[in-house]
Amino acid sequence: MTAGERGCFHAMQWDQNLLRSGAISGQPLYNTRAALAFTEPGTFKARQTWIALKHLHVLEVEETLPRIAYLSLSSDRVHISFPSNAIFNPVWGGIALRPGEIVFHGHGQGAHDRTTGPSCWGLISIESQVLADYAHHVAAIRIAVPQVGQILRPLKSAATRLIQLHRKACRMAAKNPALFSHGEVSRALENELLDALGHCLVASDTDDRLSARARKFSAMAAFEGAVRAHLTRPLTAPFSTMIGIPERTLRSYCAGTLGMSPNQYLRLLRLNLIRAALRHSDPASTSVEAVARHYQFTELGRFAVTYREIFGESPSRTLHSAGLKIS
Amino acid sequence: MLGSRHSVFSDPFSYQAAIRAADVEMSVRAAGAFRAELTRVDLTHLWMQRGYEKLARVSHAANASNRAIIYFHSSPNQASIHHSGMEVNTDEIVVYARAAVHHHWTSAPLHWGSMSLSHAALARMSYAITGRELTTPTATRKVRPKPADFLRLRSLHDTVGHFAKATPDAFTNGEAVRSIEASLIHAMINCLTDCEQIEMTSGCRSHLAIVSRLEGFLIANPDRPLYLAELCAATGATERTLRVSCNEHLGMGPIHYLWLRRMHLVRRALLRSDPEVASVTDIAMKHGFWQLGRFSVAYRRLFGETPSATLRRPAMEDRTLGGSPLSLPDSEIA
Repeated sequence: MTAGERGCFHAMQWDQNLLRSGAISGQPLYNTRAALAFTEPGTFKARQTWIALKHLHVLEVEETLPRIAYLSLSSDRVHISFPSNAIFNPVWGGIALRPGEIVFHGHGQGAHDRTTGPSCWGLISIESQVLADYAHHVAAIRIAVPQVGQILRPLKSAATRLIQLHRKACRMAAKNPALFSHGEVSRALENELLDALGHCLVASDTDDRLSARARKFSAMAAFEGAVRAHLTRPLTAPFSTMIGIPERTLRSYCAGTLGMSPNQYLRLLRLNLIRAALRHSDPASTSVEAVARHYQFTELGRFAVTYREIFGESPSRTLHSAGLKIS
Repeated sequence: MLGSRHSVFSDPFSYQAAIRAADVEMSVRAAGAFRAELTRVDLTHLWMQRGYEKLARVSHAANASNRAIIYFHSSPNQASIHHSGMEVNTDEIVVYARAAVHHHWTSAPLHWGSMSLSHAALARMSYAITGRELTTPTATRKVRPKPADFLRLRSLHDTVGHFAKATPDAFTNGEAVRSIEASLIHAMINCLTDCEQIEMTSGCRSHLAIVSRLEGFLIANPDRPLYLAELCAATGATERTLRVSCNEHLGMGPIHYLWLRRMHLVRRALLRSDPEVASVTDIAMKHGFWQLGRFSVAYRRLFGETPSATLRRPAMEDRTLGGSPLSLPDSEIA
């Protein structure tokens, strides 16, 4: 694996490749147990560029469709992510990210990450000790990695510098994968990024109401777990009961975080899994009905209508189209 | 050994090597083609130099330990300069400590002058002339002489300098030379006695300590590109402290200074290299420059020529290229 790589991936491979890029450090970068959930028709493509420096990893992802993912990041490193394009503002943990804002990920549980259109975003991960040393020596402060992620609003100049440097580096790595294997070049980029990042982390506003945020994130993590547990099992109780918060609160959290109700989210995940299954199945030996039933859809007609609304084609078309096979 | 020499320089390495009684490392900080002139006159006891530098620069210098040295603007209508973190105006003279190690920086073209005696000669002659012994201070300071005294010193220094430039073999006639030397020494001692003495502030001194540690770190890593985080760790100073100290003593912040140093390291590597074997890209990357377009533009702006033009110049010897340890044994300078 070279220090910088670019890959072009389809939906199923998105999280696998993010996992793989994290495998440079020996830790999974993302822990997603299911594929991304799409809310719109179209063919999803993701282009990822990553650069592995000595203490920093750099990632840039370009995606063609909006999607929802649940991201939780490994905890021995510090992760910072940010949107790179200004057109479609992503929503992280229910908060719309504006350009120039960065997410300082917590080392506790993860959060829902939702894009609202084709998007480009970046991620930088650093060994915790390296960031701590930097903060101590350069600024004489302690940078505390939050339990729950925070949104930081650095000075515009600091944010611009970081984002442009990140973009420039990824662009060059894509053109010339061996560039950042060069000892001094890699050291230079690492120092420049650390410096740019340091300036963002050290002097920026954060949003407050820490405890309210922690409660919400905790609830949404539990909700995500409950949804995953019921992908192929019928619901016997409302989600709010399962996770022990008022129904109204859960609905409010989901509306902000996911843009839909709890049950709609469950249905969306199930539909996405059905779509993935149909795309990779042999049309001769698969029945749409059987797959739908497996994911708890009992009324086939209603299911087909909903499926077409979201994905722009009928389920049988998915099954029979020139499919993409998992390699 | 009596004698004089006048030279014109188009590269900073030869210029800095030619400066007598000090080991100088210079980094040009303004764009343009480098040009400097140096006139040296060595009399029996007194050595003097006059110089002109076209481009603003920051220098790190270690003075010879066996000389008492003063430094000043050779003409009054000029920008102030900065020595050891002190702003030095045209009506002031820098009096160096024994074996001073210091930074000085300019922000405009400069005409400068310096003079030195051995410590013993300074003490003996000042006693003979004024009845009081002048000793070399323990910390570099500046003095503001009486205007008439300074005028006389400058005018003598000027005359001798021009004479040396025009008539290189002039300084052999014993009697005439002794007379001129006596006048110069007299003028120098007058300036240093009955003058206003201005010491370095304590803030300036503590920043000096930090900048010295910075230079120590740079010297310990002569060929490697260096960055802020390791500099802070090595000097024990935060970026903020470094910035204040560097601005005062170097005329620029630490990051810019590190960048400037890297650019100079690249230039030196290009000058040393054989174009048949080396490439600009390789050398630039070896010094951490990976945005090559930006690097080329900055290089050209700073040095007045493209990196490839530098590479194509005939390879220079290492000796001339500086980057040497701070202290030379006294015999080399004498």
